[in-house]
Amino acid sequence: MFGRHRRQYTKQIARSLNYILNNPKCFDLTQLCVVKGHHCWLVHVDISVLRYEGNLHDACSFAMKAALSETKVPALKVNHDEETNEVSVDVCDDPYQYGVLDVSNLPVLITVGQINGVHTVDTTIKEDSVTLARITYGIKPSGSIVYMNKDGGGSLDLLNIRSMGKIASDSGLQMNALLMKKIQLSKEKQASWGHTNERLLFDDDTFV
Amino acid sequence: MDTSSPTQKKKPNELTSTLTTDYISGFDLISIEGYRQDGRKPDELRHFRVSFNVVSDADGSCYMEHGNCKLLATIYGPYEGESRSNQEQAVITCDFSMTSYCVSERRLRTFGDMKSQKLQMAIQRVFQQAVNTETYPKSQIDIHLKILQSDGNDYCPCVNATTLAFINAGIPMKDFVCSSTVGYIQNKCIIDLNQQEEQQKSPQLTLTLMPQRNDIVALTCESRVHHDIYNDMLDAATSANLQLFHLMKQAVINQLKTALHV
Repeated sequence: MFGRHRRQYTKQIARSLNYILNNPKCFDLTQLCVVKGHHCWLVHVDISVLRYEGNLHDACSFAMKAALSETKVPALKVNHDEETNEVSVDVCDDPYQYGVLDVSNLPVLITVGQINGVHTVDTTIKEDSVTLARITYGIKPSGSIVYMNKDGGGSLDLLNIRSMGKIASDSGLQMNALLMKKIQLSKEKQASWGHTNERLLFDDDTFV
Repeated sequence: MDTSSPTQKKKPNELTSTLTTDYISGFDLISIEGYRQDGRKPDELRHFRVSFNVVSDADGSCYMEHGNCKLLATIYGPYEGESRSNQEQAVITCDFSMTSYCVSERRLRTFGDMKSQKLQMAIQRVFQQAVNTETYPKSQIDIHLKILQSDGNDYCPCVNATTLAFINAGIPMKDFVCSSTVGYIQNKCIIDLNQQEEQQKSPQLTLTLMPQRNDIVALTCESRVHHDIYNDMLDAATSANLQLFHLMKQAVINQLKTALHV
């Protein structure tokens, strides 16, 4: 996938993730607030794809959820002067004083495609290239659908859409639980290491 | 630590162009005991780690961590070149990009800017000489470099990683290509500068060397270097590159041993 199509594809992924992040029911934006009306945290999510093997929507949402759950928000010292209404914010010097973001309600994207009447989840690159119609669902950990986007030139009838929704809901539930479990395992593994810097990025040891 | 005693006035031919900046900044780049700010000796390289076959899709790939610099080099090729390509030799193209998060301030323009283009051309020229391009006429070899984390100089780790990626791809080269920077601070040659040391206005030069043939591939110097210390700096850079060469060779041998289950 090169050139214009790749740009469109990645922009669509960015749009889906953007919608999920800016939705107050999925991600509590007030936890990013520092001083109401004055300062707030700005979060940039940058995703670098090292290898594309199909189903990029889902993989990006898993990566984003995992990364946000590990984000360290530096501790701040805020001085709010009531009379002059001046606010001064200082970042704490101690790198070990930080807060974490709450991503327990953050949905995960599940793409369900249709090939020849059969519904597919987590397609490989070959299956992706023959899928004429697919729907990307945003599924919360409770299984409810918060986002839906249809992609591809093929058409779907209502019966198909309903069954795809059910499939997405079930897999979304499982994936959310699996993701949180893996994050927990990874945190335990990291706690047993001394310096996280010592591990090479692509070492088998770092994966859970 | 007050070192501006009256006996240390600058003599006319004293090569201490860096001294004033060191004192103004309030800390010594090389402490009295002889250690640099990151704990290294002046002739010590940064921690060097490599991992091969990272991108299984590519013909050759190498993930390298050189100190705080983390980058990924992948090689695609040789494959059939475009119709206007060279009839006798392979054409080597280089694509360099950084990620938004590679430096401490989020970077929006990750490719296509001046620095990236200069680096691309430099690496393309270096490897056009180093690779045995006559064995692959009418074909093209792509180098893709991605900086995941940057610590000052990107050029040297890029050259080293590309060499290892070429070896991983099995493309014949005339020799390894190693690259290292050398600076001159407080009357000592220091090798393998990190970002903090590079930002000092001290004489520095970058040497790209073929270690076994002892051929200089590229030598860049964008600062004023006094000719008295020039030879010392070149010697220090050569020894730095030889150290790097031994590390790289060892990494390749280890990789072969694990691949052949020896």
